[in-house]
Amino acid sequence: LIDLQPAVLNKNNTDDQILELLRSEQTFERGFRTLMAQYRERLYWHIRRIVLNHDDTDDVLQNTFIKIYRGILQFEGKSKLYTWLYRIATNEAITFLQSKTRNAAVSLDDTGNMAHARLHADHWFDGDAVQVRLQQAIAQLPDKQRVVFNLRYYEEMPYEEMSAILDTSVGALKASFHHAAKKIEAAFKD
Amino acid sequence: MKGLDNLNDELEGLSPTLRGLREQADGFNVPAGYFDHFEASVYQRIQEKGIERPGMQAIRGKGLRATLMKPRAMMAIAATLTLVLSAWWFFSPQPAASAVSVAGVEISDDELEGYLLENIHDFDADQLAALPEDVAQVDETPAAIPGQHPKAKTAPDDLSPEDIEEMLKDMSDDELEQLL
Repeated sequence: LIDLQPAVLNKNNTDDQILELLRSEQTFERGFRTLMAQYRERLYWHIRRIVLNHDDTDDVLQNTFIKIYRGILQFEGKSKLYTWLYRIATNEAITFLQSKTRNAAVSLDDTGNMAHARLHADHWFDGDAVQVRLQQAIAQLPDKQRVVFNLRYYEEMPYEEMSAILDTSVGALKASFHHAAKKIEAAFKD
Repeated sequence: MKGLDNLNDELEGLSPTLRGLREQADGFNVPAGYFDHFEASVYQRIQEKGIERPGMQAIRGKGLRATLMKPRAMMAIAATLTLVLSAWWFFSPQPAASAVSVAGVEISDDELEGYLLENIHDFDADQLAALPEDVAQVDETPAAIPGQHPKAKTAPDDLSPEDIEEMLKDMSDDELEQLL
């Protein structure tokens, strides 16, 4: 039996309610659509900050939800649902970028130029030169430092939540953000 | 917002540039209606890739049956059963070889007794003495020998003088001679 009811679009949907829907064969599809409705925007922006281009983001986000669709029943609830979702999205985005870098055979120093090229080709980016420069500086950060910076700077995520997603201590995350901010500041001064 | 204040405070000393850029638009946009159609796009891709809906057994997978159905568990069970059966076979007491069991064929006491009586002249006294007590206790009276007078089946000791006299009356001389 396939449940054809629309996703439960309710701001009060908790992860537990979504998981409850997913655990029943009759309400699984509704649960998955509710999960998508609840998280598609947050995960979109998380991925977009990493891969920059909208079309690439769309591709990575769809793959992320397909992975979630395939694996949601294996989610054991040892961590919070959104933590698990962010991990999948982060891995997908980083893997996508790494495959692009490998295919283009560029060195890490060229990542800033690649970021510039991706933004330039994206119809859905209209930032000014300062914003392009900022994105170039962010793109030159190591993968994990870039994720830490984006989660803190753009999503204002508390370090405690970030710690659960990235499986890193709060102290290490604060240090990572500190280094990233200093590097970006330096890039603007050059 | 407490988080925002904290972040701004954090950036204040770290990077005034980043602190200032937070006030500006970042330039990232999304096509109109993108999120409204996103769900359909995901389901279309699921269909294109032929991805099946995850089975509900994954939920039930935490039960005992599913645990036992896992390959590692099944191999462990098979190995344990093999060990237990081997140990049982190895340590269980084997039936002792029976004097009356030849090539796995059981011979009853009656059959053995019958054979001995039929071939009693083929055995010497030592061989007969070596037989188990219960087998050796055959009736060795001449009356038990086939072909003898039915009345001679009873041992002479059990017969009264009258019986003996009666029996001798009925016996022919040849029979009497054979008996002696």
